[in-house]
Amino acid sequence: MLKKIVALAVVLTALPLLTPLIAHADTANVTVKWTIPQDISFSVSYPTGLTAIEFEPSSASFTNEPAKNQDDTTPAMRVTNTGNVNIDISAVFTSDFPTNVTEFRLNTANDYTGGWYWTDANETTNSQTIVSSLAPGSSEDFWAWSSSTGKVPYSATPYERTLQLTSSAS
Amino acid sequence: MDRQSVFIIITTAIVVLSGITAGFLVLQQKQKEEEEEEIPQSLTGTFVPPPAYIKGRNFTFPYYENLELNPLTGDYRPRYKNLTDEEYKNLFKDLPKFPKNFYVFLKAYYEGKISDITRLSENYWKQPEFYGFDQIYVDRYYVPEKRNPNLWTPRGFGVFPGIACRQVKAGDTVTINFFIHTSPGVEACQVLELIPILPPRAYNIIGEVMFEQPSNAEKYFDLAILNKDEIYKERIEPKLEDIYKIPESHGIILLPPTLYWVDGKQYGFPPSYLQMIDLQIKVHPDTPKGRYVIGLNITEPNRKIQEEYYWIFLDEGQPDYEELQNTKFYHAKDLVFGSGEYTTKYYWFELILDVV
Repeated sequence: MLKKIVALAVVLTALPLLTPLIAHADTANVTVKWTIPQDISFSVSYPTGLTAIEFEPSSASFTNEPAKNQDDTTPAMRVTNTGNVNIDISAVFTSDFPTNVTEFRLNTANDYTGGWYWTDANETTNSQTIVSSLAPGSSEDFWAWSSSTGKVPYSATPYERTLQLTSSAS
Repeated sequence: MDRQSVFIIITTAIVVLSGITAGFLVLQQKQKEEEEEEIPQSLTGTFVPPPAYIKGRNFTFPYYENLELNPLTGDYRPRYKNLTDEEYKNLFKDLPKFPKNFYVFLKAYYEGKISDITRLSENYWKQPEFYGFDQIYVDRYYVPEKRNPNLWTPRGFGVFPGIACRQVKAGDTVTINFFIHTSPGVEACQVLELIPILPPRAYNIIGEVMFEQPSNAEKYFDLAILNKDEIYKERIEPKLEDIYKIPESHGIILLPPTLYWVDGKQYGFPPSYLQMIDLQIKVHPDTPKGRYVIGLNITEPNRKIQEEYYWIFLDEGQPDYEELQNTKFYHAKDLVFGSGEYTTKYYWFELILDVV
């Protein structure tokens, strides 16, 4: 009986000592200071079935080849601001064009004479603003064309290049 | 030893231990009071972000007054136009009940009156309206007659909030939450690899430098995204050689489509369309006090992992193929990886960490 009393007394007395150790183990309370309720959000649409702007020229050399499946009512790409602040979007390629591809054009209408273009001399350095102050819920449509000088070498797998679209609040 | 001696020993022991306990509690209370005194005054009042981080930019969010009970769903979500009753119900059927005071709360959040949305019920933060969903998206993506039949949307997601500021102490291990959600009208599944980083500097929302990262910051923090997609964890990772596995500190998530069809009927917003992300930060005990910045990069997993996902997504020979389609892939039209050609100028998510 005495042993039980001693054990119980020790446990009861030790509990307050243990409690703070348990409470402070490993994780800590995080004090919130502030958050900025910006939703960095986007979506990109393409002609049905495509997941990128594609070109399928019928010959190895081509001029102002339109992107696959684009027409007057179907752009090659639609970018939507699904966030909650107005945004600007700039565009630049992340690597050089394939051999003999010399130009890539982008316009907000189905007309290759306007808009923006990149050449094989500046495709990775010429970052251009292609959208200014796109409001939340709004979209911008783009049509695209590509040109070559001479024949583009045959490849069993498609050439892939990334036109990096970079957004920031405007 | 006689009974009297034993009694004296026990009594003495209890008195001594009680004294130690009382002393400890007094010390602890004193320490707590000192800690409370250390909390900067900026933590009192409303938690409004410093104007320099926003630069006067406006956030757009929907606001409806006087919400009425929606008899279709038994909650208070606005009855968006141009959808049949069935289309409306199918669009939101997997979401929690929409609270009557949803927009009042949303406004309070945007005004900075409340800050820590992870304390909120999911009835608020799981609603697409929390991230700006409105009639304009209904018309663009969910009304068949208004949708462009020659376009589809394979890619689109959002990260919320853009920037957060938290206070920690050296030696703490903390978990910070933020959200990643599929954008409206997306018809593919998206697999994203999430990488926490210690970038060289912090920016405001228009890209101005706010402060430089203190030197040697990488010595003081261990970062990890704890979210690992179940398919990756259970079916893909065990098959991979170590060289192909994503690092333990990286996260990987599978975002389902927000527009899909089953038996010719249109659906949207499955439960996992929005995921709460756990960013774990271990602050080393020797971390100097100061302001640090942590960023989030989003990329595509390596080709080996992509191929394994494709196998699971496409192989009808799997015994649970239908279940996977119903509960993970939601009959998506395709599978895409990373953010594709789209990125942000700075970080998808920025955490300002004050070590005090």
